[in-house]
Amino acid sequence: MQQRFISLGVILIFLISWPLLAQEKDKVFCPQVANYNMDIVLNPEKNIIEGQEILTWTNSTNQPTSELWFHLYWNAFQNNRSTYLQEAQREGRRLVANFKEEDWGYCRIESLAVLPAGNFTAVDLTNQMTFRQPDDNNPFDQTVFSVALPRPVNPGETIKLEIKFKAKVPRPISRTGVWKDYYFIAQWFPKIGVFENEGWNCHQYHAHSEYYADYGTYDVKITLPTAYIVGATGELVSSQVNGDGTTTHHFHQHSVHDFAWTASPRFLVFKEKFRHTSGKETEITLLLQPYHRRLKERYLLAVKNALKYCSQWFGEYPYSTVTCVDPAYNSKSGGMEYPTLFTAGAYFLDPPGSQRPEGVTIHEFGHGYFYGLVGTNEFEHPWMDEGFTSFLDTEVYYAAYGPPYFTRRYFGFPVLFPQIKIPVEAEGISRHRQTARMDIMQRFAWQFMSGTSYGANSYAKAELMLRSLKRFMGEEKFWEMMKTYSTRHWFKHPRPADFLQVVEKFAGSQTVDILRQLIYQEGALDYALSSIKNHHLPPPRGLFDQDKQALAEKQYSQNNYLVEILVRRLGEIKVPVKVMIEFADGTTITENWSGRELWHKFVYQRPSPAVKAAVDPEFIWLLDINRRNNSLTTRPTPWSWLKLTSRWLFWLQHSLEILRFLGS
Amino acid sequence: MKIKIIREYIEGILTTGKFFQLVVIIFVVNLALALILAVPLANSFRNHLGSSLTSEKIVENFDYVWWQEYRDEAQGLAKTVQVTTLTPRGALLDNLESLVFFNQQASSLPPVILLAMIIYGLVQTFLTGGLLATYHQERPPLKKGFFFQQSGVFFARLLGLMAISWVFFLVIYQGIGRLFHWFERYLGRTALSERPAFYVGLVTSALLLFLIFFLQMLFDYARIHTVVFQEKNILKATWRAWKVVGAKLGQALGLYYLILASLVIFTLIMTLFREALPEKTALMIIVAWLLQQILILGTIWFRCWLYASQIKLYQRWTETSLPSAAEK
Repeated sequence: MQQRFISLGVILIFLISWPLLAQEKDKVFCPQVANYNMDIVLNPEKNIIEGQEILTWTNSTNQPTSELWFHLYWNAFQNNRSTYLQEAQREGRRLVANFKEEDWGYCRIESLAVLPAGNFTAVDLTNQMTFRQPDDNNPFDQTVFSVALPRPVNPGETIKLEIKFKAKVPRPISRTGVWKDYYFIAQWFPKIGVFENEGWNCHQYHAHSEYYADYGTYDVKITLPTAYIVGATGELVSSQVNGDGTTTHHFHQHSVHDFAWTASPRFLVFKEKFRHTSGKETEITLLLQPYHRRLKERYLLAVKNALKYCSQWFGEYPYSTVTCVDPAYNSKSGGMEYPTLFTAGAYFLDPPGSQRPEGVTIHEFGHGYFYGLVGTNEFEHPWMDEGFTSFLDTEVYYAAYGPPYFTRRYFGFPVLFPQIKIPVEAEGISRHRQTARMDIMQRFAWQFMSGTSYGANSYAKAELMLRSLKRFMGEEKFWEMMKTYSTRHWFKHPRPADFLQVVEKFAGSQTVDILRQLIYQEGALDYALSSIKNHHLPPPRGLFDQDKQALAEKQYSQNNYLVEILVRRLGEIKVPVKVMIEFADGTTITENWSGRELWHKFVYQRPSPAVKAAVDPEFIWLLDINRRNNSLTTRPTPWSWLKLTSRWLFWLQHSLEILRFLGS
Repeated sequence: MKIKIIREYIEGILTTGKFFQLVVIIFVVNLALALILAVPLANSFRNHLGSSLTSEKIVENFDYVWWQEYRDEAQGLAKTVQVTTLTPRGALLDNLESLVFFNQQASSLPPVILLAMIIYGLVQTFLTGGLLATYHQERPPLKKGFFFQQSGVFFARLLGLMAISWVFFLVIYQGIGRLFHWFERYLGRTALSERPAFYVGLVTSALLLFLIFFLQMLFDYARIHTVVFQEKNILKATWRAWKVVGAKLGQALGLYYLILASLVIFTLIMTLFREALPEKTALMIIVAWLLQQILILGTIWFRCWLYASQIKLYQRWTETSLPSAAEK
């Protein structure tokens, strides 16, 4: 009897809780502004994607809008006069040099109509479409279009559109396209821009820019030959075999701002669960190339490490899936991020400790946070996703694996140098050093002086800035701040000011001033320990007041060295620094210097001379472009340069002897 | 056949041991020329480090952060200062790669290094005449200046042989090498995986290396013929030597690659030993330097050994013995 009651109780609890559980499962994480319901067919013979999207868009601003703006990213690949390809060409990147007629890609709108919903009535807007070039007025660029509406969409109002489109998959370019039977399909559908209080934010596709979009729900049905294995953003709801040799794969994901997918008959599929500390599970899917089978465990471990540390530092990963794609060789689709799906990349002989495939896996997963969850505008603030993610990947890699080894390929074999570990301090500084005075960090992605400058500022400088901030603030406070910044801006579009606001809360306005210099100001950070001067004081001589004579003699008997330490600011960036001075008797003094003046002298009367001194001895400011001028010693050792010369000498002697095999 | 090769293999060791001063002379030339270039580089290191505390870190360990800074500012000779050129295994592998892909890598070398290589090649060509004459005639090399006198006698002819060999090397590098490289790149561009290009690259590299050594071996015998028979016509010397080698190709290759294999084993052992040495104190830096010099001396000794063994083999083939055939 008692057992029957228990059973009834269990059933009752299940029946009551099921709707709640189901509701919880479907619960979205944020307002769904741009929702896409797509039904598309891939024709692999012609590399054509055809289909339709039902876009349900809500005006989430305080302003009405009488037009809608869209991206058609693939039109960047329809001819070599697009802004993307012209910018690439100006940098000497010949991306389409070998393109044949069938290699170009495009996305064409076949029809665009308002569907009857709410206060809107059905109307065909296909003829209202106008290509726009807001960034450079390039008449050949068709990566953005706008469409005039019969009446404005008011704040909070929703409009529903039906868009029929046809997209030609290009030969691999900009991490999308088809290579033999491998498809990586990204930025492929007509995608609405972001309407902000300032107006439409919908930039053209540039050679050095990524993307920006509103969050929403993507419900996508992809039909293609059954032999293909498909991976995509979100959860696979179903796979329906159609009886005509094709299968329709249905994917669904809410609270994301993009949808990418991949298909290949060759993928090896591996699935594993990752359990978070909260008990929640995330399903990891690894789509692996058969020739990278030996890297399976390393890929999966890298994703798990990324999930573990990112959840700890930036908030628990909220989605139930993540798909890691090992891209096909030559597909040019490696190292790219999309919501809940990313591509990594590896060489089949990469040894453990060489940072591949782990580094790129962690980096691209990390974009799931800084791009995916924290939806910054990659066109306008590239450092806010690339810099944060570069910082993230280094932190996760070093925490999980320790410093990587220097590796170089000889005759195709990666050779590890176990004596050479790359310290975390080395990450990014070389790139930054070369461009420190070239550009300011906060620029629109396509407005940097060069690709090198874009990369160094968006990736390296921002990474160095964050790592310096971590050292300046202390780990505990820093991670608390990062978690707050991250989780506070999940599913939002933060700008630099939003980040600075969080920094101010945790580290004060002085730290914000430092960051403002680094973000908005040109110039480099370079402090130098300019000189150590030790003067032996003569005994007190001359006329003293009676009490001062005794004092001077006492002082002289105790401290007969006059020590002068000169520190200088050689760079334009001003930060507070510590100065460490070590004396011959072993005592050490650490001073604080505001670092604002061009120079500062620390003067002491001490019993022994100073033997060493260093500005920023703990290497807090990793952005310092000249590290070796930060310290001085009065007793320099010759063995450093002798050691280096001896090693180089060996290389030269051996090289002379080996190349002697050529003819003597 | 095997036993015969072993006999020459051992005789070569004995001969080089008997005239070890010649190995030392070549080593001194090598060291002296390298030191001439090392002095400005040492100054560059010293100036770059100044009185910085970075020096202390470098004595303790390889300072990657410092190296990045140095590399970012490097000009001319300093550009050759890489992580690989500062580590024993890297130096060896870099040089092996340079040998196989000389045509691709030469352009990236600073002119002063290329000049040093040319000078070294010329000096070694000069010394080779004396070396071969000494090994052939087994006369005390330094007595009455025999070694240098013979070096002078054969210099022009050996230089001519070097020039001819370069025509062939050019064919290997610019013809066969480029073709291999094109094929590897073609596969790299079109294959579905990186493996085909990797395997083809590996095989073509091995083939190139084999061809380079094979050509060197052929010209070794041309040089030997020139000295043993005091042949004035280098084309005739080359033709006759190759005819002899062609008839006994198995033995020639066997001996050549046996000694090369010995060199590889020696280099590997020395490198592992050198890398295990903790180079953290002044004393250990000196010990490491000495060990490196032993490795270089050993490499030079193997080159002399090759000549000595090949000369013995050639003497046997042509049934020439002391004194030289021409003197007979």
